[in-house]
Amino acid sequence: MDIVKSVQNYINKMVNEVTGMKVLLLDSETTPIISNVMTQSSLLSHETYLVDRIDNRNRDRMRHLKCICFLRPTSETIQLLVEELRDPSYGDYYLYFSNTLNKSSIERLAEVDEHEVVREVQEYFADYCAINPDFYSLNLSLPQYKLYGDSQNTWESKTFQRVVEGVLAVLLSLKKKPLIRYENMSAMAKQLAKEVHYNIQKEGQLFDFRRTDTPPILLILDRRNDPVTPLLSQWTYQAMVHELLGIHNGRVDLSDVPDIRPELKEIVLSRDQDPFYKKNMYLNLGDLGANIKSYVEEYQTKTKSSINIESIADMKRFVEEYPEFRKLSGNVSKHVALVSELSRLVEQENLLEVSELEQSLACYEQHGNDLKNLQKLIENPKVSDDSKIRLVSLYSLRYQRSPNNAITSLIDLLHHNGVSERKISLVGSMLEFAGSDQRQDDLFSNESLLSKGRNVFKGLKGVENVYTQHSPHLTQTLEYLIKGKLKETSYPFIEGSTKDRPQDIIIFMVGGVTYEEARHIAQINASAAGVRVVLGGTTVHNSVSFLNEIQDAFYRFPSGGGTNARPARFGKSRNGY
Amino acid sequence: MSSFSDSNSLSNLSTSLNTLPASNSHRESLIFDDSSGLEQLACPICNECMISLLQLNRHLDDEHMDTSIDQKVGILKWFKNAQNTIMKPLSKTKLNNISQLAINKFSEFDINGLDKQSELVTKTHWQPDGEHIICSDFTCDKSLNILNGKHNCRKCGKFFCDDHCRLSMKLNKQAQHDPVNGYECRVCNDCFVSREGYLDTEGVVRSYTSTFIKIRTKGIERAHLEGNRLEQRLEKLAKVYATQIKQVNSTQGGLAPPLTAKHRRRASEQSIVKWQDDASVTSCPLCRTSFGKITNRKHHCRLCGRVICEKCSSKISLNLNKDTEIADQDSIGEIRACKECRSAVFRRKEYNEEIAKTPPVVMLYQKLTKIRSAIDSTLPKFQDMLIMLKSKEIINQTHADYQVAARTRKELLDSFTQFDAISKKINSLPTYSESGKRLQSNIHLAANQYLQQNMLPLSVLPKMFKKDQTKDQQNGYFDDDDDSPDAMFAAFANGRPRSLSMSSTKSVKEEEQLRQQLEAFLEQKIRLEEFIQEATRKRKFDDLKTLKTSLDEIKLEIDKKRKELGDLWP
Repeated sequence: MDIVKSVQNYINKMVNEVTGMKVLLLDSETTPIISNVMTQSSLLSHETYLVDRIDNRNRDRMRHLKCICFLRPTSETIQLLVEELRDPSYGDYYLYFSNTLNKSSIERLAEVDEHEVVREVQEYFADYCAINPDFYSLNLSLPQYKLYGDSQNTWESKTFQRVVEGVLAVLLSLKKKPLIRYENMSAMAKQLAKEVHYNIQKEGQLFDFRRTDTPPILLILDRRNDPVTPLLSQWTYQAMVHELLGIHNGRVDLSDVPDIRPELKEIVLSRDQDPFYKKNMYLNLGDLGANIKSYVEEYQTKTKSSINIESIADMKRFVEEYPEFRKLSGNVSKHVALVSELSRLVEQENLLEVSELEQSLACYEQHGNDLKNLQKLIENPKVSDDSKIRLVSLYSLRYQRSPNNAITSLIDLLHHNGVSERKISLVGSMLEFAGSDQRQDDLFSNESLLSKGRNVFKGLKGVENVYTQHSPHLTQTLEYLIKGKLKETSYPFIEGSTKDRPQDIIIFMVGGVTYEEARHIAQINASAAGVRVVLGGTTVHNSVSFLNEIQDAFYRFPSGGGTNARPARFGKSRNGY
Repeated sequence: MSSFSDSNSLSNLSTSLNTLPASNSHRESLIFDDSSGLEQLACPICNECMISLLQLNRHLDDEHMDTSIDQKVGILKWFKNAQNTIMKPLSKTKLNNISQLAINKFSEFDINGLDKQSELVTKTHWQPDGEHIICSDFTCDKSLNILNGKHNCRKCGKFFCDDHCRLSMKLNKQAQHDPVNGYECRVCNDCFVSREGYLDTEGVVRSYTSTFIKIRTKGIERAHLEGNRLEQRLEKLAKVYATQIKQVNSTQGGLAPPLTAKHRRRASEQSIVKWQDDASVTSCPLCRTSFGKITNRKHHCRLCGRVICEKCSSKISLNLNKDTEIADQDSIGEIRACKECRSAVFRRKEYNEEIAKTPPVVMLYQKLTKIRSAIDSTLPKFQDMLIMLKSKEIINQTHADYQVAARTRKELLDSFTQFDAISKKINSLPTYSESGKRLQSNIHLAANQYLQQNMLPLSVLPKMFKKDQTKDQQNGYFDDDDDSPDAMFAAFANGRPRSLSMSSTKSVKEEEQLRQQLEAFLEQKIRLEEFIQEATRKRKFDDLKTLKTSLDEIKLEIDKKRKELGDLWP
């Protein structure tokens, strides 16, 4: 179950199908799917010399090229393809669709293909962005895709269709016909589970796979059961970059970084191409710093040896090592720039202090102490408004039920310290969105006496690192699932059931996943032998995008908000330095 | 009883020192006597001491499975009895100990249950037991004993330690994977992972090509019919025009008013296709603009007869000869036709013509591919030769195999140079469009990538050859170092006059050496030039400086070598 390889396999098959000069024609959604797993040079090595968008109307006519089309079969792209085939720009056409193609689309395309240029029509189910071998996203983010319909319990219909297709594509590309389990309290998870199940039944021929020892499990979860994870500051490389700068389709925008060199304005983070990144993506900032130091030293010794060119032999060696050397130098400066920007942001926004409190709020019941710290941080002008909102949200989520909570006084304090009304309204929205009556599991282990006791025990064990104590709720759910102890009342099956311990697990999280969860999944995959887990969701959130989504949703809900003006996007202040 | 004699591999932990080579009955009585104390739990067959029942159970599985069935049945029967007796006086604390041990060992999976279930699966393929068995996992070299565990993978039968044999998989009685009717069995990582489909990364694919072609064929036939009909009309029109021109020519002397000719022509045009009534149409069927009296006049398409506007129609020139309708000199007139008819008649022809044309970039690219495939087929052969040379330690340059390898290398180098030249040519072709430019530079880029990938290992070879050479020189009767007594001795021992051997061997060897050096330098020059290009493009000026100095030095060196070579062979 390596989803990166699955997608790569599909694409390699496409570009290997035919020899000769080729152009690859994509649409707005297949472009990120490909750019996440392929590099330009790997496409070039398969004679794919041009990549273009089908919605680009100014393409030149080059009939000596063969055309590989990889498109999502939406009505828009089919229309564009109809126009393309009517007056073909290229020689032969090989059509690959990322999902199921309906009969009428095939007919329409066949009717316009008067020149008989189409050679292949196939469905290749690479309909999601594979980020890590065990982590995928459907990239459904605002403003293009809205998740929620007219309440936080209903799907926006266009998004829903896309999600169903995406989940089906994941299953088909991994060749899994799973038993489906979902979070009982989430109406959206249930609706998705039912629809996926219905489609699996409908496409019985496609889902005809060899039997496995134990049936694979598709577990559909809802972000609202764990609103805490996406609110926390992150300290491991991949997660931290996404939290502070944002990773979009493997790219990081550094153009706002002061004094950045022009070639580093946009950088690419790719596991496949960048061994340093692969090695360090799950390490925390401390270990990362040490590794980057030795990486720079390694580079420096190499530079030194290449500068002292005295003999012909030295020179020869230099020439031979030059490509490697150049690659290294690019990579070193990339990571150095990235890590120094991360530490600058941490310093600028007092994130260490903020994070310490976040972790304490997320993991321990320490009301008096945490409240004092929280008030202190709200009054600290160095802490950003966004961090303050996140802290108060975390506090409210944990102490919502406790009779002597200070939520109202904290909100007053936020007002007092000049945080805008719109941002403050998020605290209320958050409670409405994912408060304790919206969650099915005891997220903070503070709802029953028994779990409180367990929590105390947890606290006694001591911690390795103050900033990375929190482990997402997902890991606990998954642990139960792997042991075969996940309760059917909380996580029912759509149809059938099994007592076996699952070996292959596919998780889909409605409402987005985080890189922190991705890291824990990677750890589980590395340590639990015989169990393979793949995690994905509607999008990959950081705190900014998560809060944005809630804000956008509550602005649109008929019941919520009532403010007339569209809210300012959350997180703008960070980009405005 | 041979199977009993080799069952002492766990003896390093055994506390019992007396391994009694005795009959079944003897042992039985001994064990029964012993059963009073659980601390001295011993194997009924080899009398080895065990810590727990679980371990004893496993020990029996692992050590004594190759005992013949008869014996086994007997032993099993005995064992059950013994178990009953042993279990009865077992105190509670001891039971706890045992279960504790089990939990510690298999915290992740309840393997103990697994092993019982897998009793039904065949064990004939198991690796025979012996002393000093180590774990069969590649990454593990633990010797197997009580501490590390000792298990047969139920599928492949090999021995593994605890860590590398803790997965479970369903096997049938023949120990083959059977997800439906199999029993859960303990297997090693390799067997677990290598079952069919487990590491499959090929996703589902569904093809609609045949459906598509079927639908298309139907449509195409219709379109062809329509196209043919229009083409026929066009031909007829041409004929009509031709006869009318003749008539006009013949009646030139008379005063035939041009108006009547026009009328006649119109009549004959309408005889080929019926014209649509002007009054029935208020707007152009193609672009939907409404017709006016003066501004947007009505026209008739001569091929389909519809009323259309000026913009949506164009004139087609008529030719009698169907194949040369483009050639203007044959034209005998023009007719008006709507966009749709025009494309129906000409589109296919135009498309096919365009396809038939081969732009220069295609021709060059074909050459490029040819060279590449040649390289791709020679390269592995060359690598094989090298391996062969190395393994046979052929160091003599006059050896046939050596020469073949050298020749192949030369060929490859030539191919690479050619390849490079063509890719550069493609890059410098004049381009007619933005994408054309992009295409050409990308081909060049890909070619460079290919060169870097494949020429790199090739350029390592001269070193290897050189090393061989130095060896060659040392082994030979001549050494560069004239004062070396060894060399002198060698020369004398060989019984050859030194001076003579010197001149001849030196010239031949030096020449070969120089040639190889020169070749290497030339190669490096090419690559350096590439790097410089790339560095310029990427504006890496620091690198550029270093590269340029290197290039200059290399050039100097090349000149020097060339001169030397020239000196040797004037």
